Amino acid sequence: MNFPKICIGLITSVIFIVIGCTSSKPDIAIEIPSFRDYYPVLLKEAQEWRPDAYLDDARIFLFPKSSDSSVISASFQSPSKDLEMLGVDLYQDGTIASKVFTQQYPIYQHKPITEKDWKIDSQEAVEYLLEKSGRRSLSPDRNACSFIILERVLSSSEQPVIWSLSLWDCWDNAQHFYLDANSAKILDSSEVNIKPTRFPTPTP
Amino acid sequence: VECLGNGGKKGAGFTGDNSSTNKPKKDKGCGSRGKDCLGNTNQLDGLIQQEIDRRFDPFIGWFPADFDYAASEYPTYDYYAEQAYEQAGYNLLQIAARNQDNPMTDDDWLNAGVPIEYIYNKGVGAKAPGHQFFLNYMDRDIKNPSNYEANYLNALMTTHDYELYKAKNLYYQQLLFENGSLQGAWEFLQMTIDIAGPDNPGG
Repeated sequence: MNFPKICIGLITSVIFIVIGCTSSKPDIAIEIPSFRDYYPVLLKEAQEWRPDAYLDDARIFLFPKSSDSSVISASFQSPSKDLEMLGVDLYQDGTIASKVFTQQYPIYQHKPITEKDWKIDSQEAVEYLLEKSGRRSLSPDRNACSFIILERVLSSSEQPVIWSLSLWDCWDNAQHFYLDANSAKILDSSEVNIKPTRFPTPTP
Repeated sequence: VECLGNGGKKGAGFTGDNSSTNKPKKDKGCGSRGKDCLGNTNQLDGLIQQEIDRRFDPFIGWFPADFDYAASEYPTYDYYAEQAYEQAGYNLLQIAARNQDNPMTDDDWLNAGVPIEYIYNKGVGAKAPGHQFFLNYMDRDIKNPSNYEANYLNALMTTHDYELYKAKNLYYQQLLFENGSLQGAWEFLQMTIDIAGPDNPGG
């Protein structure tokens, strides 16, 4: 037996295994932009499109991929435009770009989301929701497409404003966690995913 | 084929040509490799975006690429399933526009003469890569895939053009990011072209 060669082979294997096990990026604490800080800039951009533009929702990505990846992606609607909405993106390099989208079906006009509608800011919301999920940090690899979104629950009669955290690797099912943006109460999935009532009366 | 980022493609509910840049501060095109999006010469880029559109199509996206949807029994089933919503008293587009859950029950399907097996089988489509990606982007809980039969998914996409556009763009960016190049992304799509849905969609 060629003992030195076996030893070298074993050592090499161990090195490869160690490298393989540690090559994925380690978990990191999440730091995202304050939506409260950026909201005025995004709103101003939207108001250049329509002076009565209001925030529909805002998605903040936890791990933007490159300098020209979107960090905040917000959509705005206008009460005077049923078939148009505006997408406003804040990129990691600090630029803002907007794009008008023409919809095929009339937009559901809802109560605007204004600064008064969320007391909990984005970073605080992420921390609350990560705690709920039992984590303090996330792996950028396993959560590459994760985001937190500020939105109204349109299916609920009160239409509360919530933060919803989606932990998503881009391919498999995401995990969802919900927080009332005003009271900081953690919400159950059943409080957010609501089935509609029948309308009009079912056809006999 | 124009690129997703330029808004030139028409997919299911994809507004494409109708969208316009309000203030073109920077072309964000197809992500970090914007130059690939600008030329019509990049055939590979066009093919990738065509395949992305196919994967996101609510009616055919869950089938393998060579499945002949038009020649199958599925268009008929899909038509009856669409009628079932109206028969049960629901305005599907209105439900989707409000981002509400699918309200249909087993009884609703049975009353409309739609086989439950079809709905559950088709609902598995929510597990198809393109559909799953769109639903995850929409922040939808897809634990119960039977909620996402093709007509409901189509209504969600129709009433959420913007999210569909953004989801397709993110899918494209992620493909490039993970595979390093257009060639790598295309090879990955080819490797996974037959696993968009169940092996035996008619079964």
